[in-house]
Amino acid sequence: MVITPHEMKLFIIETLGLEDLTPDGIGDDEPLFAGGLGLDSIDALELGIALRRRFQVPAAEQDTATRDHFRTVSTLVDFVARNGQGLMEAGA
Amino acid sequence: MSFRACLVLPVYDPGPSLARTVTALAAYGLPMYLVDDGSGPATGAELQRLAAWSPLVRLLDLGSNQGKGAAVMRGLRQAHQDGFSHALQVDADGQHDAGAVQAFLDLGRQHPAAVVAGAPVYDRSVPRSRKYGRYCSHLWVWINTLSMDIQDSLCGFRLYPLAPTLALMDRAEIPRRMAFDTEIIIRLHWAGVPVRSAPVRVTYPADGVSHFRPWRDTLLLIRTHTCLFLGMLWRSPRLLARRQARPWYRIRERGTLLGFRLAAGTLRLLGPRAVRVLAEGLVPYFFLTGRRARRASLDYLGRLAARSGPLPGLPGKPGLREVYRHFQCFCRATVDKLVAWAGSRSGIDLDPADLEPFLALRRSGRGVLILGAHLGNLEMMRALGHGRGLEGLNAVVYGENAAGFHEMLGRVNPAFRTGLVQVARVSPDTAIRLQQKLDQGECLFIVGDRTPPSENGRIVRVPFLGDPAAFPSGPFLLAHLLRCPVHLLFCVHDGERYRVRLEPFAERIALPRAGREAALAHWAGRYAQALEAQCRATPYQWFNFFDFWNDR
Repeated sequence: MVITPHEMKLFIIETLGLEDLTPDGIGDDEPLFAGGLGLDSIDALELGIALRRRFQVPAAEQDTATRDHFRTVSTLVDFVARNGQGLMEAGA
Repeated sequence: MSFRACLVLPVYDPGPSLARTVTALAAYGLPMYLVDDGSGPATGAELQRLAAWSPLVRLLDLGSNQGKGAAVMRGLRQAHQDGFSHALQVDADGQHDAGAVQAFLDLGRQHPAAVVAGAPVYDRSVPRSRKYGRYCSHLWVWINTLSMDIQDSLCGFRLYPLAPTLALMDRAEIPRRMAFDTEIIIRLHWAGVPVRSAPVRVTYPADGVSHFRPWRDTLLLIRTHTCLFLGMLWRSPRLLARRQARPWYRIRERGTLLGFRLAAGTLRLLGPRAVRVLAEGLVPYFFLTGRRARRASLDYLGRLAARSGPLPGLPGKPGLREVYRHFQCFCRATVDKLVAWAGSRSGIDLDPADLEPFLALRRSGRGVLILGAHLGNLEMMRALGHGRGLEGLNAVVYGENAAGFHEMLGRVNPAFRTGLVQVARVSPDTAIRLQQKLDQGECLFIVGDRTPPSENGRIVRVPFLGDPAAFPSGPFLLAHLLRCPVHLLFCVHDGERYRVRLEPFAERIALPRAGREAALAHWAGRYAQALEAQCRATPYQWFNFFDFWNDR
């Protein structure tokens, strides 16, 4: 499932309710957690749930793998492109 | 120190099984000490032949018949001298399945300080008197070690850690005859050597030669156990004190796996009333041996009394009598869970009107999170609901908790397991799974006063009975993620019957981005207050028998 970085940023903002941010305010390679955008573990969970629902990405139970995927917008886009199916293809 | 194992076989005219046994054991490539305990010339010749046959075989000769213990000890000494770290004792009469050797060696490698004792698994060849007569001995072993660690003391298939065993042999007088197997393992246990058990298949070959003489050997065992009993009494303060501080999630399972099986079996055969009698009889055992639980109970009751003053049934300065009552309540609640899941209402007095709000909630089709505690009998609610044909009552538990108890309940009623959701920690997958259930209008039961065993930092500290204590943040986190209403449920016994208290806790629990910690502390604080109020109302029904304020 291909998604552009811009769409991913919109998705993050919408899911987490980051009202005071716009997609332009988030760098493609800016760290989302631990500094940078400063999201916390609960955000990670919410994002994880939303991604799972929206793109059917398999959830990695291992923290380390998830952390790598969630590091920046770019890594997320890659992750979804490789593993996601999206609602369109969910029936396949 | 590296793990180097060998085999030790005491040999006393075992007949044709000797060659078979040695051949089978030789496959492992381990040096084998065959200790001739004054056998006749035929055996002597056979031993020479075997020694010539394989370089693994090392012969030792006691010269005259001195007893199994003497033979094994001679072998152990030689093994130790020759530089081995462990020795596996095997009977030469072919009763033990040689295939078990690998499993014992593996266990020995994993736990090099422990003695790995064989727990026999019998096939149909075993004479019944031998099979059941052993239980008498097992009972005495449990009494003499004040523990159930040693599953079988009579089995001669055993891996010894040589250093501690030799030290014991030098220090104490170990019987040289048939009581050796029993006494040495009890003394090793006294000396603090950990005991692991592993199964070994035991068969009685038709051509096997047994030197077991029922009367002589039984009397010998009786004498052995009597002497050991005196030894136990002398050591009992130390043995009791040695029950090490164990993490809380092991305390709940302490020594009770056998007790659960006993309870389930009694329930099946004799019914609920017999189980209650049995449980009541077990309370003294748990009370006497559960030092940590006693201390925790006394601490909790003391804090409660200090904070609220004397309460009905709770004096200003609670003592051991109150602790005993606490233990009794816990036992009763546990039995009630078992009985409820078994589908019986015997002894479970509950006003149907009390149950109605809870049933209505479930029927409303609105998915809710039901927050309870280890107070009263939350699990029984699930059982009773199920018993009335309600589905969709799920218990969310951290995976490792109460595994043995859950296994037993699952056996009593498989429906228990269908509603059990085990989570290691709150993850997106967990949340989605639970969300699906909520979307179907189901209920999720979760307790708020037990933290997950694996420390993920997911705790929040709020005051409880006057001092800060750690509560899990999981339930509140889940409520936030699942966006569902939360209700509090306490099902408590008021001395005569069970009462059900169901009340709304929050329509919605939100942990906003700005101020998560504060929100968590707020909700956990409210929960702790509700818990405290319930403890004041029913002091003996909060069942956390560990140091709640410090044990994390």
